[in-house]
Amino acid sequence: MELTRDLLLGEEQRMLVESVSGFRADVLDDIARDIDEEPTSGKVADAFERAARVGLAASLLSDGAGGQEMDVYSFCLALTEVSRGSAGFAALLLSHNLALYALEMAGAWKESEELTGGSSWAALAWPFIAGGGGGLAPFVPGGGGARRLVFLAPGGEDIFSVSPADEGVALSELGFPMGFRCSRPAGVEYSRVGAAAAGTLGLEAARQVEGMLLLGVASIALGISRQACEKAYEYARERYQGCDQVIGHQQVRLMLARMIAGTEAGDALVRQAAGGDGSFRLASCRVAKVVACDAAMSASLDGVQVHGGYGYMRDYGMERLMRDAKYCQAYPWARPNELLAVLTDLE
Amino acid sequence: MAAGVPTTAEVRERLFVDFPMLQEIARRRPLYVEKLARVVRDCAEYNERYVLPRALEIDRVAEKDHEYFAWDLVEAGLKYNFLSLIIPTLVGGVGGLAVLFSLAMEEMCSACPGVANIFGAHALGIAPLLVAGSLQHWLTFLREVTEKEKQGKPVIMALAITEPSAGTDVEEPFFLSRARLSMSAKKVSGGYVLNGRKCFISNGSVAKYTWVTAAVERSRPCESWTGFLVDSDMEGFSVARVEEKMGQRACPAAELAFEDCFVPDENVVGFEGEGMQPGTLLTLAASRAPVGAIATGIARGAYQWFSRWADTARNGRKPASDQRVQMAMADMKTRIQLSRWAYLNAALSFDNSLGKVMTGPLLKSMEVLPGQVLYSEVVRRVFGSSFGKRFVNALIAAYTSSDAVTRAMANASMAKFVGGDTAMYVTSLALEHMGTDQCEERAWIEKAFRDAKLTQIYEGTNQLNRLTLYMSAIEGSLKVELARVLGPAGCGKGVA
Repeated sequence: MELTRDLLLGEEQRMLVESVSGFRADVLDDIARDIDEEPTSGKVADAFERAARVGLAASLLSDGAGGQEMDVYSFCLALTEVSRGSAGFAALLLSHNLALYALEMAGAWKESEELTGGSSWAALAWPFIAGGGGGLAPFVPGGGGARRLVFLAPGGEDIFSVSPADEGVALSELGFPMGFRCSRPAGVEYSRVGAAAAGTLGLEAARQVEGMLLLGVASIALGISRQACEKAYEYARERYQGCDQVIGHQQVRLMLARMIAGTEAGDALVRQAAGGDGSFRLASCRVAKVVACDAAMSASLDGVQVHGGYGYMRDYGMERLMRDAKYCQAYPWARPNELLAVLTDLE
Repeated sequence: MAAGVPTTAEVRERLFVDFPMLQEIARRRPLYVEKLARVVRDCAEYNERYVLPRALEIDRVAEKDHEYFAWDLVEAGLKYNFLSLIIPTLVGGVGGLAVLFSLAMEEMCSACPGVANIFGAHALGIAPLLVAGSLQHWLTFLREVTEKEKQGKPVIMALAITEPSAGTDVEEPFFLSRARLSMSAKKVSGGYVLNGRKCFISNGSVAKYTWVTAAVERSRPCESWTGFLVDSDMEGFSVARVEEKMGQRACPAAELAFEDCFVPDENVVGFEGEGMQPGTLLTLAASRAPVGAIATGIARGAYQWFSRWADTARNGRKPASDQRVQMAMADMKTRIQLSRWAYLNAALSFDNSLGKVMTGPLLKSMEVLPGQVLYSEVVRRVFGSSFGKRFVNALIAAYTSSDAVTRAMANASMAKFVGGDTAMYVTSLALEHMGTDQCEERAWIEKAFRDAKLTQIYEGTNQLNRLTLYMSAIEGSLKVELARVLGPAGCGKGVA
């Protein structure tokens, strides 16, 4: 199904989407269910290594740092494609890439060169809530199994790069989260913010990282929407009710049209917020994130509904979209707080 | 959420707050309301003692082992008579109807709809025997359920309508006439031979008896749609697979296979051709109000956990002090209350129509018969005969009307989709406000969110239920036809 976004892609962006789509088909589609059910099985690490081979483990880093130097929108396109296979895996890639990006921006890159090769990943421990001489990042995609954890100190000035084994770091993988499961989300406590920082990021750059995180989650949500829409469309064409294709029902057509409308709106807002020069208006990122995530939630719920009983069963993969969509709405901030922040940003 | 076991008096007061209409009913029928309160109290105690300590664990275990079934939880429910809540007192049951069962479902589902649905799907399997003029089956199968329950041995029932290529199609006469059916029944000497598959059957893998529908003539599915009671020991019956579900995992859903499965004539429920009209429609009229209650219970449970979260300080501040949370809680409470009234309204309209047959003086008077007489072979044969079935059909026709049960069906459809949408709304909104806060409350609400989605799908999708409401209460083209005293009911979307 070709949406407006696809028609607007430049040649390089089109090639990127095709390349990542190939990675999804070759690697993720076969294991998406397994890594959701058994995130620690080793298949996530294998997939990460394969992702690194197609440049997804160092997407945002500069050429000099061994990266792809992708612009923000291209990175968003890549995440959307990955998310169509596994939103959880896309969340892991987002967390890893932003951690590396923040380190490079802070001039602390030297410490983490080993993380571009695909043998291990880093995780961005953000939001980081200060308290008691340290702080807590309550939900860190990629936290479980990460070699490095990257914190932005409250205020965003300093950046810390630590190993989970370091003194003052307490990492606990969340037992049974409903969504983003294969990213092995973890809660991370860090009690040594007073220790020497790996580098200085600065407030403006910290806001840029936040904006990219929001757009990244929005892009993951767009992947969910597209996948829900296309799978529901295929199913509705293949499945018959009586003598009629399910897609012949006006109610089903309305649901599909709503999915397309939501995806189109999210796409447009992400493209607009990503801009062309890497500068951000944080409020625009928040709006894009909220709209795209709401669309993903609605599309995945309707996608399950179009599939009827089959949508509720794990074999079809529709229910996973629904679970992941809920985490898109919740991460990094609760949806109402994200909305309230839009106004604060504009003020 | 654990809140201590209330007394029956406390439950009664709570019911009066939630359902002001019950106060009025209590003035006229105090013993009836007392019975409702007692059953709801039992459900609360069962939740507190057995379900809440294990529901999350069962959900996780059943995710890995989808065939897992907590027989011990079912056995723990026997002392509360949860397997005989809707079985008539004539054969040793509690004698509850839709109102009683709906209230029980809301209470149970506030803790775990998966566990509750074991009893819910069981009652669904019983319903066709109650509404299809099948007194001899009361005296045999339903009596077996109540007797074994007293002995501590659960006999579970199920209902199998959905087929792999026909879900919505087999729940409504208009669609059935054009459905792609896989099940068939062939008349042979002394009975029928069933072939085909049924899917997504709640309790299907653990039920002793399953009510199964099939067309005797593929070319006339609606007119030949027939209900059969299949014993899991029958040759040719097997469980093909147990599904891996997103939620409500404590209650397994199975695909059932029938390969030359012979079912004797005495296991035909009602007459041949009465499987859709009135069998399926009456069953759904009876069961959709409780499904609305199941969904309402899920919403209520999520709301209670959310309230606890909102009242717990985080970083020195309670979420409930935020206006956004206050507004959300007001919306949740409103939706839950509206769903309650919708299901009670539907349940009352069923109890006041078809339910009157079950509680009417004729059946009540049979309770004075000594067991040797009531359960004798002679009596069973009489009620199993064509004469016996017609007698019960005449009884139903005397107590209620096609219009009354059609209204009940319309109200039940309304209650079902209102409840299902409420459950999704409340669980979804709660999670939106909680963000990624990984706390105990969130674990319960995430489970409720997964559980809730099924209530928009099973028992007819919410879309089908909206169409049913339209056709029966607005357009007037769908009417439940009672079984005719002389000959089987007709079939078709249209009116008699």
